[in-house]
Amino acid sequence: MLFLKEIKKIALTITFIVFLVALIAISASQDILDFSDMIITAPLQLQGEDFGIQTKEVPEQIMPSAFDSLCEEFAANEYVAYPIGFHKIVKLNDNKREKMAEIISALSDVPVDDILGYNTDNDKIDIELVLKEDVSYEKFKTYMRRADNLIGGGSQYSDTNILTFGYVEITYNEAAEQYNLILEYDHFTGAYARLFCDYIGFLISILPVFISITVCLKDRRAKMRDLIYTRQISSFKLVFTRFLAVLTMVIIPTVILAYISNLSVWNHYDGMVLDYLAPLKYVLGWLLPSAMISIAVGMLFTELTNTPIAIAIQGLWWFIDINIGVSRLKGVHNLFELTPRHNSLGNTRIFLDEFNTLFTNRLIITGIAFMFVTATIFVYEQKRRGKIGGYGKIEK
Amino acid sequence: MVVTEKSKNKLQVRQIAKINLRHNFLPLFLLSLIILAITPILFGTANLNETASAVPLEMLVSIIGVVILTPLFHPEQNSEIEDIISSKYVNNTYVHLIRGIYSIIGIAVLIICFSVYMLICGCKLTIPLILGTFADAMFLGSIGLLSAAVSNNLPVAFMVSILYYLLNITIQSKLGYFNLFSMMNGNYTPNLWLLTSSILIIVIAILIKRIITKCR
Repeated sequence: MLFLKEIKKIALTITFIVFLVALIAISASQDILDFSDMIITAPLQLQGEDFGIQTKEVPEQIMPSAFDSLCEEFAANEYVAYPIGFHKIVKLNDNKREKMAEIISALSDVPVDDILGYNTDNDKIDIELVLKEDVSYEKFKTYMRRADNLIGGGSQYSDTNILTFGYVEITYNEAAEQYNLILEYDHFTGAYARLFCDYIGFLISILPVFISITVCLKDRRAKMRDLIYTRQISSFKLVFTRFLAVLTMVIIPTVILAYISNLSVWNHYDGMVLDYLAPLKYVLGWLLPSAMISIAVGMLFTELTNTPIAIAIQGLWWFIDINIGVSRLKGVHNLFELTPRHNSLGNTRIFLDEFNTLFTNRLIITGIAFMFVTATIFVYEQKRRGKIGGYGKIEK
Repeated sequence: MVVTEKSKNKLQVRQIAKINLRHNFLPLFLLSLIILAITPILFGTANLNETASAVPLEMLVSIIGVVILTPLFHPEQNSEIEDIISSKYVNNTYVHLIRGIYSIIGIAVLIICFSVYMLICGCKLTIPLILGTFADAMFLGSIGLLSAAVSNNLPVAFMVSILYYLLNITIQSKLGYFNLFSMMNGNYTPNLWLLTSSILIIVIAILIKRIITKCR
C-alpha cells in the first residue's frame, strides 16, 4: 500500500529523526511535558487573598500613567512601538517632535517651547509635566491617538494598547468565574492542552516543511523520478498520499507528546470530570492546520522549482508570524495567523470570546493548504507530461 | 607563449569562482538582498542607539549566513554534478574552499552595506557591533554547513541552523558563550567565541566532506 510505503520512507529519513529529536528536546526545555507544578485550584475567599491583577479600562489610572510614559519617551525621544507586531524603537524628527510637544502642552498647559526643553541658551532644562485635572477621558484618548499616529502606529498610546496602563486586582468573584470556566468548559485537561499547543505551535508551523521538501527531493536524488512519472498511478493519488503520509508522521508524535504532557496532571484532579480527549482535540483543531500549510508550501515550491526554496518562503512567513505573535500572547487571534497563541494556563474567557476568529483562521489556513496541494498535483502532472521541465522552464 | 603552472592555477581559480558565482551564489545573494530589504520594514532602522541597532542585526541580518553559507555543498546534492566535479583535474576540496571564501566575502559585504545604510539612517553602529553580526551570521551558517557535510542532506542542514536560531529564542540564557542575541544586552564576548568556532566548524565541515567524498 502506497501510504504505508511513504510512511516507512519518511520514518527512515534523517530529517524526520531530527524533527523528532527537536520536538522532544524543545518540549522538554520548555517544561511542557510535565505540568504537575501548575495545578489549578479553586480560589478561596480568605481575607487578603491575592488573585493576581488584570488590565481594565480605568480612566483614573490610565490617564496619568499613559501621560507620564509619553513624557518619558518624549524626553528620551525613543518610543517603543509594535506597528506590525515587531518591537520597534521610533525616534521622531524635529518637526514631529514639535507636534508631540504640542500634544503634551495641550494636556499639561506647559508652553511648547518649555516642553521642547530649550531655554534661550539652547541648553536642556528640567521641567515638571503634570496632566491637567480638567481633561476628559475622551479628549485624552483623542490626543493619545494623535501621538500614536506621530509615532507611526502600534505604540503604547493606540486605542488597544492604552488599556494596558490600567491595572486592577482580580476579585474573588472574578477568580471564581475563571475557575468555573476551567472546570466546566475545559474540564481542566483542555487548559493544559491549550498551553501545550501554544508552546509547540511555533515548531509545528515550520519543521514539517523540511520533511515535505526531503520527501519531494528524494525521488530525484534516488534517480527514481522518471520511473515514477511513467507509472499508472494518478498524480492526485501520489501527491495526496504523500501529503497525508507526512501529515500523519508529524501529527502522531505531536499527539503522543500532548498526551504525555496532559497525563502529568490527571492524578491531581481525582473526582473531577476530565476531558480525556482534550489533547487529541486540541492537536487536531489547533496544530493540524499549521502543519498542513507547512507541508503544502514545502511540496508545492519543491515540485515547482526542484530546490529547497520553500524553506525561505515558509521560514519568512514563520519568522514574521512568531514575532507578530508576541502581541497576541494573551490569546487574541486574527484571520491569517500561522501559529495561534494563548500563553497562559486557563484564561478560558478570552479563549471563548476569541473562538470564532480562531475557528475561521484555522479554516482559512486549512483551505489554503488544500489549494497548495491541488496546485502541487497540477504541477506534478505537468512535469509527468513533460510540459514543465523544472526551474520554471516550460517546454513547448 | 609559455603557460606556467602558476598562471594555470590562477586561471582555474578564476574559472571555478566565475561558474560558481553565476550558478550557485547569485540566487543566494539575491535571496539575502530580499531579507535585507525587508529588515527596515519589520524593524526600526533609523536613529537607533548601539543596543537598539543590535536588534535588527542579530535577529534578521544574521540569517543571511544560513542563506549563503549552509548550501555550500548544494551543487553536489545532484549526483550528476558531483560526478562531473569529481572527474575534473581540480580537487573537490579546492572547489569548496573557493566557494567558502567568496561566500564569506559575500556575507561580509552584505553586512557592511546594511551597516552603512543604518549609519546613513542615523543609527549608532560600532565596529564590534558589525563584527558581532558577522560572527552571528558565520556561526549560523557554519553549523548548517557542518550538518550538510555530515548528513549530505540540505533540508536537514537548514533545519539545524533554524533550530539553533529557535534555541536562542527559547533557552537563550542557557547558551552561554554561544548566545546569538547577546549584543542586544550589550555583551560582545559571545561573538568572539562564535566567530572563532565558526571558522573551525567550516574547516571541519570541508574536511568531513573531503573524507566522505574520498570514501565513496
